[in-house]
Parts: sequence; C-alpha cells; structure tokens
Amino acid sequence: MPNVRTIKCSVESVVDHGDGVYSVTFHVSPQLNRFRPGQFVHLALDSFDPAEPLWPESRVFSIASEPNSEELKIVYSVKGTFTTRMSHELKEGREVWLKYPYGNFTVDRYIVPSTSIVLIAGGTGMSPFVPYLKSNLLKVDAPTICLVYAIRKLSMFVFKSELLEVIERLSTFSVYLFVEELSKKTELLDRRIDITVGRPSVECLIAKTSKLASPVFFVSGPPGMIDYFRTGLLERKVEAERVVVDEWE
Amino acid sequence: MSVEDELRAHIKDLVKRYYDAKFRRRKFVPGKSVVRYAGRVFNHEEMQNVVDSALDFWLTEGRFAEQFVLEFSDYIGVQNAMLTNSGSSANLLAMTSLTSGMLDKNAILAGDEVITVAAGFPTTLNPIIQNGLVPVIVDINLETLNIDAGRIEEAISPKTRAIMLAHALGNPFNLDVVTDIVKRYKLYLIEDCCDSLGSTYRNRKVGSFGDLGTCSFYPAHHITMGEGGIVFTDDDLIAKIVSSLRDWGRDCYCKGGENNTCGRRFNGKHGMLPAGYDHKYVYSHIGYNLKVTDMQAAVGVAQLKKLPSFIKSRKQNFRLWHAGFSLWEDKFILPRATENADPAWFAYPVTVRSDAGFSRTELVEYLSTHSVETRNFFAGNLLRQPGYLRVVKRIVGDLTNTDKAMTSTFFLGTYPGINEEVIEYSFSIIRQFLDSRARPRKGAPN
Repeated sequence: MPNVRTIKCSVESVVDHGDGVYSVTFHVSPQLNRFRPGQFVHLALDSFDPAEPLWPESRVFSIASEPNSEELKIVYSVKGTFTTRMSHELKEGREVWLKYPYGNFTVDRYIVPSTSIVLIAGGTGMSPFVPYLKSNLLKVDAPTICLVYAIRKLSMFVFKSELLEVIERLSTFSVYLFVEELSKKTELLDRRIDITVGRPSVECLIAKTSKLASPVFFVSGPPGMIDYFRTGLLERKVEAERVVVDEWE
Repeated sequence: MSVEDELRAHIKDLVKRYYDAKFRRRKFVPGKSVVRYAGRVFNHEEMQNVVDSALDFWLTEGRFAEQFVLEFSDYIGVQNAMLTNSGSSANLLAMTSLTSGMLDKNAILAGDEVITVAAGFPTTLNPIIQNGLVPVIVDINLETLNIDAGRIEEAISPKTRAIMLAHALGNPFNLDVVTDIVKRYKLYLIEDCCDSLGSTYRNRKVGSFGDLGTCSFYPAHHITMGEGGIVFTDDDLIAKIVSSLRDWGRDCYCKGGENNTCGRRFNGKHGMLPAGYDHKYVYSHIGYNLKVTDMQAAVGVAQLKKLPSFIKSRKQNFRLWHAGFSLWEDKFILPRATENADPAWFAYPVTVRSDAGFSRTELVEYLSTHSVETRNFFAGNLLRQPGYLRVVKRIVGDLTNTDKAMTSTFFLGTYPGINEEVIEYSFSIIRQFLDSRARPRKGAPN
C-alpha cells in the first residue's frame, strides 16, 4: 500500500441519509490524499500528538471518493458507541485525525487487462467501489464491469449521483440494483438501472453475469452477505482466485 | 505557548548558536586542509531536527520517518518507500523480497540466476549470493563504468529471473536496453541507486524504472542520516514484503503505538497456528530487524530539502574536474555520461591509461601525501576478493574492463563540501605529479 500518512483535517460536510446512515466529507490536501481505489482510512475523534504517536481509538472506513482530490468521503452507519459518537460530533468544521491508506481490496491488483469484473456491494459496502469506478472514467480501455448493488430501501441509495455519472460515461458498465423494501418500481430514477425487489441470490448473480468470460468477483458488504456470496460462488466451482472479498469488519 | 513549546524553541535557538560557533566558519587552507572525496554537508537545520526528535524521545520511527518517506517517494515518483538502516540493508531487503512465498509462482528460487556486474560495491552483489541465487557476471564499459549493455542478452538463460545493477557512481546504466530486456524476458529489475539519488534518465528519476530501487544515506552519499537507507517500489505487495522482512518477518504492519490497523488481530488463520492467534506475533517471513530511528529520519528530512542544491554542486564540481582532466586525455580515460542520462555524479572517476607512464597507485599515493583523498572504484573486480573466490557464479565472456577498473580506476570527490578553489588546488598537485613524471630521469639518454 502507498506510504501511510497521518493528517489532521476538518469536516467539510455531513449528509444524514436517515436510518443512521451518514456521508461525511473531509477537506484534505490533494498532495497528501493518495491511496489506491478500494483502500480504507482510520478515523480518530480524539486528539493526537505526532511527536508522541500513540494512536487513539479509531475505526476504519472505506474511502468513497477519488484519490488526489481535495476531499475524502466516507459513508457509515451507526452501529456502536464509536459510530454513535461520530453521529453526534461530526459537524462542519470539526477537526479529526485520519491515517491512511490501508488495505489490499484494490481491484486492479487482482486482474489483468481485459478481465471482466463483477462488483457485489451491500449498503455502505459500495464505498470502496466508487473510487474504482471513477478511476475507469479516464481509461480508454476500461474493462467490462457489472455491479450488483443491494440496499434496504431507495433512501439508502447514497451513491446515486456517482453511479449515474459512471453509467453516463462508461459504456462497459452495467448496474443491477436490488432493493429490499420498494413499494413501486416507478419510484426509481433512471431507466438505465435494472431494479429488482428483494435481495440478490447467488443464482441470480450467476445468471446476470453468465455472458462474461471468467469474471473476477469482488464482494463488499456486511459479513453475512460476504460469507453468503463467497461460499455460494465457491460451491458453484468458481475458482478461489476469482473471488475477492473485503474482509475488514 | 506552553512551557514545553517555549523550551523547545529555546533549545532550537541554542542549537543554532552552537552550530554557528562550532561548524560555521570552517575554511579551506591549501596544503593543510584535507580534500575529502565525500562527507556530510549540513547546517543548523539538521542539528535542530535531530534535537527536536530527541526531545520527542519517541526514538523508533515516528513523525520524521513518516514525513521523510512521503517526501522521498514524491521526489522519486513512487508510491511506497521503506526506511532501513543502510543502503546495503536496502539491497538485501530488495533482493530477498523477490524470493518471498507471497509472490507465489513469481518468486525467485534458490539456484535461479541474476545478471549483474563484478565491478562496484560488494553489497550490490552480496544479496544475490546471500539468497542462494547465482550471479551472472557481465563486463563493464570503462567510460561509463556501467554494465556493457550490448552483452546483457548473451547472459540470459532459462534460469534468469532478475537484473540487479547499481548506477555506477551516479551515472545511470542504459535503461533503454535494460528495461527492454526485462520486459521481453519477464525479469525483475532492481536499481541500486545508492550512489545516484537524483540522477535522471530521459528526464525520469532513476529508481522509478525497476520493480524496486534502493538508496543509501551513509555520509558519503548524496544526502545523509549518518546510517540509513531506503527501499522504494510502486508495487504494494512487494512493499508489504519488504516491510515484513525489515521488521522481523512479521505479518502485521502496525507501527509502534498502533494496534489492529488491519482489523484482523484476533480473527485470522495463519499457517498452522491456532485460529485467532495474535497477528502481532505472526511471521510470514524469516526476517531481520533493519529499522531506523526517528532521529536518523529527522536528519534526513532536513537533508532532503537541500538535495536539489547538493545535486547542482555535484554537477558543477564534475564539470570542473572534467575540464581540467580533458587536458590529459592521453593519460586518462575520462568518464562519460550514458546517453539520455543526466547524472547527479557521486564522484569523478578516471582510469589511468596503460601507456600513461605511471600507475594508479603511484598517483593516488602522491595525492594522498598532499592531502587529496581519492578512492578506488570500490572493490574492483569483486570476484578476485578473498571472500568471493568460492562463490558459485557464471561469467559471460571475459571481464577485461572489470579487471582494468580494478587496477587503474580511481575517483575524486564531487560532493558539495568542495568547490572550485579545492579542485584548483587538487589540480595543482596532479600537475606536479605529472610534471615530475615528464622530467627526464638522471642518467637517461637525451
């Protein structure tokens, strides 16, 4: 992973998506904001002295924005005491310490040119895929990418604008959105997104990606979902090296 | 301002005053001062940084190390840099990393071959031998002192897995040829940049062409930390392996003061260890402890800021030496920059011609007695060194130029601690020597 850096920065904006899900954007120096798409950041709320680097309690979050930009975005859902504290304390201007980049869940590491890619994301597990998808917008030879994205309800579709941009600009990209609670399909925003009510299954995944030649599957989301897809794919004789999961939790 | 901050500022001020009193006004006195071939060049900033770090008393890698690797990797243009305690350790880590099981089928195995040269510093060759690999030796070019690029392809065999070479005395080797061969034969390339920090090839920094690059921060080099070195790479997996090998072979990459940065401290399954065995004590390599202190890095931070001016001085000093020696091309083979290269010269190397009428030893002894330091081209032909006589190796063709460099090449300093006045003085001594050799001997026929 690129050299780890420890930086003090401030909250630029917070979006409350409801149901305890928040997006937070931090203002950072582009020169320091270096990472590989798919990597994660440690966030500490307490003070830290670089001259005595005993790192305080922190939590990790996949980075959901592009490298080398002036902002670093994370999306989190409130699950325990630390994230509860985050929901109370992270307001515009609040200073925090970030330490990053970490992690090996970087798509490019596992593929060779012309490999087809299937991204399977659940909820905030979409975060590590966002910078990867955006990094492909500038490529002339972007791979075929299929995204299977599962959310509980449409209000949780926090990466809507990012995905619409990728759909618009990347002809090799397709999205299958699964929404657990959806009263009417017409609620949906854009015809280019294939929407299904319910959770995605392994069978459904195989069917939707059957035209792809030996794709590599990347899974990111809650542990139960990761286990389900990993086990299911391996049971269906997908080689282990073609199933990559984001194991940090 | 807190008492602590106030005291720190006061101590820094005292350090500057101490520097001014002890080091600032040292002047060159011809005939009395020694003309060094290399040395540390610093001012109060290095001393203040090292004291600042000492006051932190964190001791192991900390804020200065973090700052140094970020700025260094930006300078070279790579993503990963790992500090270590010497350039030699950097070479050892670089070569050993390519034998890691983490590289799976791409790992280099014992008995595989690595192409290199025998003319140079031992620790470019040593890691090949230390890893049970077979060095395949190619001769050098006497003007560039680098591998004879036209003969590399002859050295390839089915067992060849890598090329490991130093950019000799700051002069880049022919990277067009080497990178082409590396690509065609799917080889690894390690660039030993211990003597060439800041040299460029086609306007790109050396060290950024290969799979790995290394640098030394011993005082003789372009910048110093006292003792120190660095390994750098754009490959994240190789970077992880290098860090592991440097840090006892551990799998965990938490720094001092950190815990569970990977999130798998107590829930992983490693080797045949019980599930959940503390990741802090999981070892994925048979490693070393080759780390640096933050005090070393603190010196490096100040030195790195001066690097552009150091390089400028080195180039200027090289030009001065070259202008002077150009008058004696009948006696010396002069150095030549590799085509497309802009060297940040480590030194000014010359080779005494066979028909010069004197030997290298005679000349450098004369210079030494007049306080002008020189150095041989390191170990000469390493294969003739006592410790290397039984090394298993393969030699491609002959090593005529390597042997010539062993007997007849020496170098003078280009480091920023010398200037035109010092070089002029040195030339006056060389001139004296050459004049003494030109005079007819007593009793010799006219």
